[in-house]
Amino acid sequence: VTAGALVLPVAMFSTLTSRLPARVREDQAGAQDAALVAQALAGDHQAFGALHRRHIDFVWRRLTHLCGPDPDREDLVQQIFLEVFRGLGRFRGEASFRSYLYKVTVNIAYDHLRRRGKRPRPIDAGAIEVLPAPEASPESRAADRQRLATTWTALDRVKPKKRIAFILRVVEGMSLEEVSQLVNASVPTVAKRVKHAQEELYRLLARRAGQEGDAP
Amino acid sequence: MTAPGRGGDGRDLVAAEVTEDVLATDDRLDDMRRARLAARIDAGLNHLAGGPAGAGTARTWRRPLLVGLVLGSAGMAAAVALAIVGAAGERGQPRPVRGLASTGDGVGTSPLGTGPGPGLPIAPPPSTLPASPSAILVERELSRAFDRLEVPAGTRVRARLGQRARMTLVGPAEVAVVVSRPGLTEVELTRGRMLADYDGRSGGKLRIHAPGLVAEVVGTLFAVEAEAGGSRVSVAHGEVAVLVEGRPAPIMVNAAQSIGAGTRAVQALAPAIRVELEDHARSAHRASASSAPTGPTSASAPPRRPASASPSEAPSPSAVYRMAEDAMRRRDRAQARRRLEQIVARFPSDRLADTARYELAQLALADGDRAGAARLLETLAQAGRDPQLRESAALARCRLDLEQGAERRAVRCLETFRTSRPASGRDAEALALLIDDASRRGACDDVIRLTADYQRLHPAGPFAREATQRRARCLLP
Repeated sequence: VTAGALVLPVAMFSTLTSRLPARVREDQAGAQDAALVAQALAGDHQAFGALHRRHIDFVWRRLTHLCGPDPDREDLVQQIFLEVFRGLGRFRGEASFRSYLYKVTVNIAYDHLRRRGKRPRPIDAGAIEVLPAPEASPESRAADRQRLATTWTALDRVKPKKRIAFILRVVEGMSLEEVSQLVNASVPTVAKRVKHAQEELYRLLARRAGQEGDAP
Repeated sequence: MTAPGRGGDGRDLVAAEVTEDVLATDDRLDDMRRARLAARIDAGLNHLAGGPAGAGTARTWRRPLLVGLVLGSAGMAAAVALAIVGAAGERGQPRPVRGLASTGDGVGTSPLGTGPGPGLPIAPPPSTLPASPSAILVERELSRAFDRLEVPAGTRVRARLGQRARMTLVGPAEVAVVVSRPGLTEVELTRGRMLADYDGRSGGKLRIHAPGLVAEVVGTLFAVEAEAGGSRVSVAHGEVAVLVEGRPAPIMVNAAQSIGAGTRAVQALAPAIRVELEDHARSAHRASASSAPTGPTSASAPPRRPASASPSEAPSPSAVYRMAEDAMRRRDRAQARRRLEQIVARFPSDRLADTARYELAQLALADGDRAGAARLLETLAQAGRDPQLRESAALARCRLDLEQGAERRAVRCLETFRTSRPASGRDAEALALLIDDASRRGACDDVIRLTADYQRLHPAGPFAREATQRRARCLLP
């Protein structure tokens, strides 16, 4: 059997499995989470280690969306997983582990944004990492960073509850019901927060646009 | 991109722009950061699981202090009685230490009422105070709950705390024992600076409460500076878990680091404190060696550590890992490599050994040793204990093939990765690498097939926008 003969079936199988419906893959992942949670609750710390390694990218991404390019993100991620570990006994499995994790992430992001709001720090455009785009010149990357710094600064001026509702609803594309469950608020309250955030961002960013992109 | 549920106006446009900017901010974790974060979480979990509070909340740390303080108030009379009898009376007179200014008994403990706090003297008032704070005057012993020590300004006092901690208090300082039982000693440092070394090899813990923070020590050389506005913990060797007020989880402070109650991040150890800590360690060892055999209380004194023993002996895997991390932060790759190799050699079955192997591979890569990196990644991918790290290693191995230009091998590697890990959280990354490779080869059929997969499986993935563009380029005539 040659190496080439092995490549084709592997590639075909890969193509087939990668075309599994997303829902099936999510269910598989959920079942694995549930098994790991059960093991962790039984005292297997390695199972929790596996859980946090499975979800660390998810938490990092959500936290970045909620808090921006914050230098405290590593601390917050650690805090989130320790909080989840401590609260694992209260996790009843009615929702998925990922939903539970998301809820803790949102709570900790909220606390952090609230604390940060009391001691606001200017956002350093140079410290923002922009997703790589091919063919982007250094100048355009610098301009991207500046634009992002303006946006994040505007978001920093929006009250944390409104900001979180806006991010979850508009950026993450969640339904109002889903957001209301995550933030423990009624649907009309969430809708109001999103609307207010949108109004404030419009006011802040439209004004800045009028100042020809000056950083705030 | 438009904001859901809004009519089309400038507000929608701004919302769409904000969305685009939020999503354009890099929200990916690179492998090194992921490994480091995972190790940090593991260290925090080990601490939570192994601490006296078990898997309970860090808030329970405060409970012993509260209990201690309540007991302290209720038992003030007992404390007074204890103070009158005093450590001097019960455990012999304070011993002058070699090189002292010979000020007699009680020097270094505060006279009743001279300190700003309501401290209780444990010995008669000093007759004179030294001019220089650098002189260590007396050696005291604090071992029971309610034992209290005040050190006036301009004075240093060395004290033994329980059986395993030795401290130097730099006045004005005030310290009281809150809890003292086998395996746990808790003290409250209300003001002043405490330089201490603690030997926790038998499993005991030392917990120090200072304004704004609680430090828990397993075995280390460290300093606590207590100030009403916010205290600071500095570590020379080993590691200390510090719970800063207002934060739910303890922060591990490692060698050459410090943290203040008012700061949000671990900082470098101040050189002046480092020097003081080294002085403390040296003088404490000297005193131990010279006074142990003949000291007036040597018969009843707790066993002393040999003078050669270092507080950093037998460090835990997480302590060594933190040293490696610290070296990496300083860009001292040789030192980092030594520490990581130490973990692999000494603690091969610890989960941090896998992380260490992974980081060693990254270091090998940074040094241009691709073959060495490939070997380490291969080993980890096949025999690692942690499935997630095995996964990271497997993907990093595929990336290595890509970077080396071994495209066919890389494609096989990535496809195998995706096949064998259909529910992997790194699937989007593997798929993006395949798309990128196919684009570079100009294999538009593959690009179209793979980008369709990406859009279907990871519509909100970090590469989604790019995948759409690459697909469009291939579909254009």
